[in-house]
Formats: sequence, C-alpha cells, structure tokens
Amino acid sequence: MSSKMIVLMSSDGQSFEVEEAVAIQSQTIAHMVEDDCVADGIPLANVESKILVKVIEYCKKYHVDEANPISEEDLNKWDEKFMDLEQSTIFELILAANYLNIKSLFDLTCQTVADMIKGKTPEEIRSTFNIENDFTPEEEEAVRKENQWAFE
Amino acid sequence: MDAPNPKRPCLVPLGTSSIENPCSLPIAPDFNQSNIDLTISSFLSLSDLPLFSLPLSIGCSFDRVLDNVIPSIAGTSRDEFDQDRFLDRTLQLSSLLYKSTKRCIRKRATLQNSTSWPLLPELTIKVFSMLDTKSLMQASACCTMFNKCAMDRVCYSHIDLTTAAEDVDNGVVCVMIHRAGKELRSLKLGSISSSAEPTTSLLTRSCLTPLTFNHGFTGGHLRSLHLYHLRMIDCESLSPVLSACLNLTDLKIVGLISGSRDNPLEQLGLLTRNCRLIEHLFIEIYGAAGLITDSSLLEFAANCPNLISISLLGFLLNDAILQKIIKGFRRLKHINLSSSPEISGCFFRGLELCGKDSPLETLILRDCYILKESEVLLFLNSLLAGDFKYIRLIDVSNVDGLVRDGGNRTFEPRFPIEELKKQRSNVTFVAIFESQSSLSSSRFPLEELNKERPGLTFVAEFRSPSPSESDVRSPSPSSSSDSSSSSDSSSSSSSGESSDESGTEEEEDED
Repeated sequence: MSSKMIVLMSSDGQSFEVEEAVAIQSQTIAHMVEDDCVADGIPLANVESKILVKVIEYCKKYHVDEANPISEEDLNKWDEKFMDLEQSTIFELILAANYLNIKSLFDLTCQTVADMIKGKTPEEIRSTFNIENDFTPEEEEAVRKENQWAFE
Repeated sequence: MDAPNPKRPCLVPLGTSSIENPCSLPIAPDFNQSNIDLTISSFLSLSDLPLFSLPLSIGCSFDRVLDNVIPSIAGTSRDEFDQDRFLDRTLQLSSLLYKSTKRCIRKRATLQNSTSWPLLPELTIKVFSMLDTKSLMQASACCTMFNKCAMDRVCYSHIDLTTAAEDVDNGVVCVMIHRAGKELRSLKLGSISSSAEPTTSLLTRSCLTPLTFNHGFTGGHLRSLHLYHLRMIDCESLSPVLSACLNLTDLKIVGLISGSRDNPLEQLGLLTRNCRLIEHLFIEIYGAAGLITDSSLLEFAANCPNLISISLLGFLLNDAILQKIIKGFRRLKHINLSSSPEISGCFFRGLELCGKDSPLETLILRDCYILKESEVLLFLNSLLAGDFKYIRLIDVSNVDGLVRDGGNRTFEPRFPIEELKKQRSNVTFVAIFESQSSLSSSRFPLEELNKERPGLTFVAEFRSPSPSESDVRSPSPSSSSDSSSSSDSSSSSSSGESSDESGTEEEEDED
C-alpha cells in the first residue's frame, strides 16, 4: 500500500518522514500540501526536534482508520500517558500545536495546563509555575476584594 | 528624582569623605542629572564595600553623619526649623529609595514571569477559558499578567460557579455574566452534589435576571444552561429568563420545583416555548402531580422540533405519552425516563411501525416501578428482528426488580442475552437489579469479557442469594461512557448524577 510521504524538518535541522495522511491533521501542513509546496520537505522553523517527535507521535495515534478502531476510553488513557511530561515540554507542545494548527492536540495541551491550575490557591499556582507575585500590596488587596467570594 | 530646587539646602553627598571632613555648611555643587545618578549609584554601591558588610556598620555610619550634619545646621532658633526640614527630607529620601527598590523588584518579577510562563496572552486566555470560574479568580490573583488575561471576555464564556456554590450569590452571577458579555456561551449554577435541602445556597429566584437585561443581550448568546438544586426555582421564575435565551441548545435543570396546579408537561411547554433550537433537555422535577394531557405534549413537541436527547425524571409520564414522545420528536436519539412510576413498557408495542427507521440510540428506564419483564422481552425481540438499528444503550435496572406476569417481581428476568450478543454486538444492555444492601456480592473479571467482545457490554447483577451463573456477567466501566461518546449531552451520564440510589451502579461503573 503506497502512501504518500512528507518530510518535516525541525528547527534544529532534523528530518522526519511522515505519511501525508497523518501529517495533514495539522491544518498548517494541510494548506501547504494543497498549495503544493512540499516537494523539498516542510521546514518548521518554530518547532524543535524534541517536540516534533511528540507531535508526530500524537498524529500517528490519532490517525484512525477502520482497520484499527480505538475506543474513546482507550484514547483518553493514552492521552493521559502522553501528557505525562515536564512542564516546559507541555508549554512547547502548546506553542507547536498552535503553530501547526492541530486543534485536538491544542485543546489537549491547554486542558492539561488548565487542570494544573484548577482548585489551587494563588500561592500554589505561583509555586507550580514558578511565577512571582508582582502586585503592589494595594493591587493585590483590590483583586482579592473584587472577587471576594472566590477567596472565602 | 525632581529637579533640584536651588533654594533647598543641598545635602552633602554621603558617598564622599564626609566622614573625615564633616562640612560646616552644606554645599551646592553643580547639579545635573548624571551627577545625581552617579551620586546615587556610589551610595548604593556602599553595600559592596567589605567594610560595610554588616548592616550594623552602615547604620553606625549613618548615625555618625547625621549627628555631624545636625550640629552644623544648629545655631539660632531659625536653624531648628532647618534641622526639622533636613530630617524630614532625609526620611522622604529613604522612603523614595524604598519604593523605587520595590518597583524594581516587581519589574524583575514580571520579567521573570514571562520566562516561566511562555504563552502569549491569546494562548493564556485560551487556557483560562477552560477553568471553572473560581479557579479563574484564583489565577487572576497570581500576578499582573494573569490578572490582565483573566479579565478578557473569552475567559468567561463558560461560567461554572458550581465549584464555589456556598459562596456565590446573585451579585456574583451578575458580575460574571457582565464580564462575559457577548462571549457568554454556557452557564452552570448551583451545587452538583445532590442534597435534598440546599439551604446553604445564597442564590435566589432572580439570580438569572441579568440574562434578560438589555433586551436579553447576554441571554441571546447563551447556548447551554445547567442549574443544580437552586432554591425555589420553578417554571414561573424561569420562564422569563428562558424566553430571552433564544439560542439555547442545552438545558439541564436538576431540582425544578413543580407548581402544584399545572401538570408538569404543561410547565415544560411553558419553559421551552421560546427555545426552538433546543437539542438536549434534562429536567428532574420535584413534587410533580397532576394529570398529563396530550395537548400539552403537542405544544411541547411543536416548540422543540430539534430535540435530540430528552431526560425527564420525576414527571408522571405514562406509556401513551412516551410513545407519543418517541414518535413526535423526529430526531430524538436519547431518552431517559427513569423513575417514572406509570410506565409499564407497553409503549414498546406501539413502536413497531416506526421501529425500523427509528434513530433512537439510548433508552434508559431505570427504576420504573411497574416496568414489566414481558414488555422488555418484546422490545429485545424486536431488536433481534432488526428494529431500532441505531440503538446502542438500553438500561432497565431497577432496585425492585421487574414485574413478572402474575404480579410477582423478578430479579432474574429471562432475556435472550446470547442471541442479542451475537446479532446486535454493539448494544449495551444494562439491567442491574441489586439493592444497595448487597454491594459486596459478585465481582467478575471484566478484562476477559472486554477482550472477547469489545463492542458488547452486558451488565446484570442479581440480588438473589444463589446467583444463576449463566446470566451473571461483570459490569463494565464503558457501559455509560459508550453512550456518552455517542451523544454530547447528559442523557445517560445524567442518570448517574441525579438518581439517588445510583450508589451500586456508580461503583460497578468505576471498576
């Protein structure tokens, strides 16, 4: 079974050969294929090889065909394992999914970060993401007062 | 710092040799900005001198200088005034230095934050829009960048106030709706955990009125509304709100109070009169009484031609009504009429004609007290004959078992499970007849079953002391997720949420 292959080139010069059908899950790549400018491979200046590997892994998994149907539940479990990554990698994935316009990966990565914020106090959120408090005391007081109900 | 006022007595630069040569009079050197900056940076670099590694020694130096300068201003009584002014300005200077340093610290913190959190505002807002509203507020108090992003309208498009149910009052709802403005898409209020007496809720009947402001500006953008156990929410208070929500596609009300006069279906018609686009409807009503008449059903069916899923719990619907519902709503895929004490199952009979092409995918009739085994059997046989080819989930669980011909109740109904598995392998049939008291009984290995027949899940637990092996299988966690994968909404997942005696099934499902 011959499937058309595309070459994706990461920002640090590595090349990855991927089936076209898998790669066009990225709307960005799909448009390029339509415009027929993929002959020499597609340079992805904003995506490092380390991240591109993960993106390709995701796209391969989500390239569902009738021969290998996967239940939604299995996919969810796989998603969880897939997203068990370092924080910096997760952020890089968000940026990559945004740049490559892969909606499901983008939603998954954003949801993962959102889940890291849910249910935490500001101090906990700061500590999770290594963020510093740059409010003046008055500003902070005002913010808390404005939404007092959430800080009971 | 401000331009020097020539009339102000100028201070001796502290970084110079004032220690060795205390001047008798303050000098006014040629001031320009770079001189000032130089002076300040020399002063600040004092702390680098090893001589001054101890704060105590700098403190002593300050004392020494001040003590020297004061006497040099001393003299006549006019000079006391000058002394006071000098000391005040010294204080002011130190306060200004303090504030400036704090500002610098904050600027550095902001810069540091943009490294730790590499997402631009647009992406940050997208992440924030996935948070429940309370978490969003917590995030907004973290740093200035988060605060700015958290004020964007898009963050409030899906307002979820169920996580802070005890602290939310009408004012909060109003503010959140206002912040969402034209981005408002969904609203969830109340406390999800079912409590018969939601006395702690601060919300009143008029909490949703902001949706009607400005000719229903925000209400018109709303697509989904979920209300959980709000006090005193009845049709009368909800009608005006829902008439503003013309684009509503998903409505869920758990704990609707029934007005005792009108029959529930009529109330339903009233509620949905203006929501012509509604696709998913879930209503659990408390205290329903009154006769159901056909006319109210006609109005309801006419109002909502796009209905895809319907769950009416606590409505006193009977078989005739159910039949009309299935026939009347052409696009209906998911039905949940659990806890309907008037449904015996004979509605199945009238469905032969439309059975072949019926788009029905889910049918849940849990805890319908008079549901008959024979009627369910009829239905299953019609499935085997090829009717209802889209159906994926059937649930007839009942704590009290099914009614057998002759009036007895059975906990071991005789259903053609094997044939069903063979012919309709993608159907999930749930029939749990176990009461909560016998939770600990049979747990079976589900991995085997799932491996063999990934499409089919059959769940049937029986309470009788000697379970018959042929009919006993293991519950599967996918039994309810199967259906929720086929429908966006709540028709079957809601049965877990709302029915009170769902303790058993929940545990099985989580296996």
